[in-house]
Amino acid sequence: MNNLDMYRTTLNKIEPEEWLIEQTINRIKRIEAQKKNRNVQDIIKKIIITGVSVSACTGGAFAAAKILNLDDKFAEYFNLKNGKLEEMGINICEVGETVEANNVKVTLEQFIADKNNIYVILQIEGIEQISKYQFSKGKTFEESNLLGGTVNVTKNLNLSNSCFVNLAGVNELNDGDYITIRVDLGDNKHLDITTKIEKTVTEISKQVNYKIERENGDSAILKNIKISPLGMELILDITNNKEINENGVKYGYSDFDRILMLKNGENIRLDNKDIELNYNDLIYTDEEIVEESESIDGKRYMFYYIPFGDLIKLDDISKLTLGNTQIDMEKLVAEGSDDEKYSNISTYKKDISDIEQENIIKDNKIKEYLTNNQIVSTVEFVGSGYVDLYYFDKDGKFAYYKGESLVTEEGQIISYRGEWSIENGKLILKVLEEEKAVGGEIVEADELFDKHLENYEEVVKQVNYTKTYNVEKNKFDSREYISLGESNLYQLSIKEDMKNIVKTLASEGYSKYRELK
Amino acid sequence: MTIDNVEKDVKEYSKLVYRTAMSILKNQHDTEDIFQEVFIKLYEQKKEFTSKEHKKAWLIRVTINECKSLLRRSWYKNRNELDENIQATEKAEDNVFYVVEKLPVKYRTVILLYYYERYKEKEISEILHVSEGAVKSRLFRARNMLKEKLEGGF
Repeated sequence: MNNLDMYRTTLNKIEPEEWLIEQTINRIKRIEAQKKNRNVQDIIKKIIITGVSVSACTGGAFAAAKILNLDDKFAEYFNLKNGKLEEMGINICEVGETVEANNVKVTLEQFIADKNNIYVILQIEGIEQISKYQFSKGKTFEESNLLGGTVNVTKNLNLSNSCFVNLAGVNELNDGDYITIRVDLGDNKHLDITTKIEKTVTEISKQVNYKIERENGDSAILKNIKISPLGMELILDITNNKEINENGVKYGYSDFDRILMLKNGENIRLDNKDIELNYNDLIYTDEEIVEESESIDGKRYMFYYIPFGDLIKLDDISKLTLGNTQIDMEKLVAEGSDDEKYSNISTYKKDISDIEQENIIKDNKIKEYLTNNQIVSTVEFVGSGYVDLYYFDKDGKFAYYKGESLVTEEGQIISYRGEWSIENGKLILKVLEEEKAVGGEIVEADELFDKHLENYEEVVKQVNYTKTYNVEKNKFDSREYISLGESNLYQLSIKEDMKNIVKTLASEGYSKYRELK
Repeated sequence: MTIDNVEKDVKEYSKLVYRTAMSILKNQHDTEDIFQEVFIKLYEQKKEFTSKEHKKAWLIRVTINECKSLLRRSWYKNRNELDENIQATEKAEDNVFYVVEKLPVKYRTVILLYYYERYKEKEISEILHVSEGAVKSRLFRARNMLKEKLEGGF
């Protein structure tokens, strides 16, 4: 039995016991029964609550009090559609404002975010703790717009009445988007908070200069450390890494190893238990870290979600150990002036220029790949079949050529050319000329060829349309490629004459291209 | 969703949800909790599924999210290793299943979805809400990790 079969065989044996299935079904049946019994009673309660809500909002004297407790049944009872909710005085909750229902008050205290995660801090009164929540995009809670599943609330370790709501799915959220968080108050009650996303980042950032030594003699310099409630980010200089310089890239893995991205997308391993952070008499190690991430420029290594449960204060970190190096936190704190130290412990919005800079780096890497005097193709290797070829030159001209494929029908595009650019992760192809098959006759399939068109004319036509694709640079099995919408583009080694045909088409147009063909 | 439909779904998808949760949590009691939460969520949600595959993918995604949420909790540590369901004699060090289960969560999740549930990379990227490139990268790394530990790799 091979490893894969063994894996599947063992997994096949993992199944729930019968009692668990029965218990789950019975539990759902109980919820169903409870819902039916409470239906009428709940509606009456909610009418009263909403009455207070409307008077508070329209009166203007209690602008901070907003009651947004509307569930589907209630909406159905009043035949409410989404558009009518705002007419009823359903306002958008802003930071500092309170939502109230079922004798529970929830205040939206703060957004905390980095580029990978967003948290909302809620202050809760009237209930010991909110245990679960869901959230959806939009001004009302919509199952169809749900982001993530039902999520447990992380309680603040230091402030008993506040908790963190982790808005997973941050990639789907942008500044200015509305979200509605539905918090479960227990006993089949819930409360909705609608707010506008502000990706606010709170973090400490310090420039440092620490040498991190590895057992094999390699070293890296820790240049910058950023700590936020969401995690810790380390920026390292690895230019003097002996292993990479002498031996090239090596991959190595073991349990809980951390993979460190280096320049040029290469990796090196930091050994087990590299990170240990002492904070408020608690020790955080690798095992506390649930997620990890690597930066696009390959020089940052990010550890996610060390669950501080509060804004971490640099002064309270007693020890930070990286590899064989223990960072002297007192020295680190003392290095900066007080102004510098605390100016970063504040809330600020992520600068749009940071985002733009990240996009520029990404775009440049894609440009570099595409313009490396290579033909790129949607197939990974040249085989016996057809290849779709692209050539992108540095002056902004491109050509697409359908290579060796058979033309299967009249009107099929054989090639096109025009101008290209990349902006914010999008490849824009402005097509100015295209070559199509016109006329000809269909030849049925035989032993050598599939059904195809013969004796057609290759007609070139001036056109003007734009094709736009999402592009991203990726790497798999040591091979780099560009994701182009649904397909991938690979740098391809093909015969010089074929390469010249496509290059000529891009740079000189159809007359020269015809000569070469 | 009606109670009758949910009952049918609990029976039909019980192994899928249980297996997925167990692969991530490696703990029977937590898996049982997540199992119930996922099906209650299925009952409470009002989404129309376009196909069985759509429902299956939704269940996997919700199960993974629920498990990750549990793992994020600060008290969640020092839990028992799996597994009461498997005979002790099968827990040999060379059993690939246990080697996979020692990989970090994100790697063992893609291994499960790719090699056991037989999803394509693109489908996994949709379930996990990560790019297709990230799925390929995780699979590649997971395979390399396994190669180090197993003769023959995956």
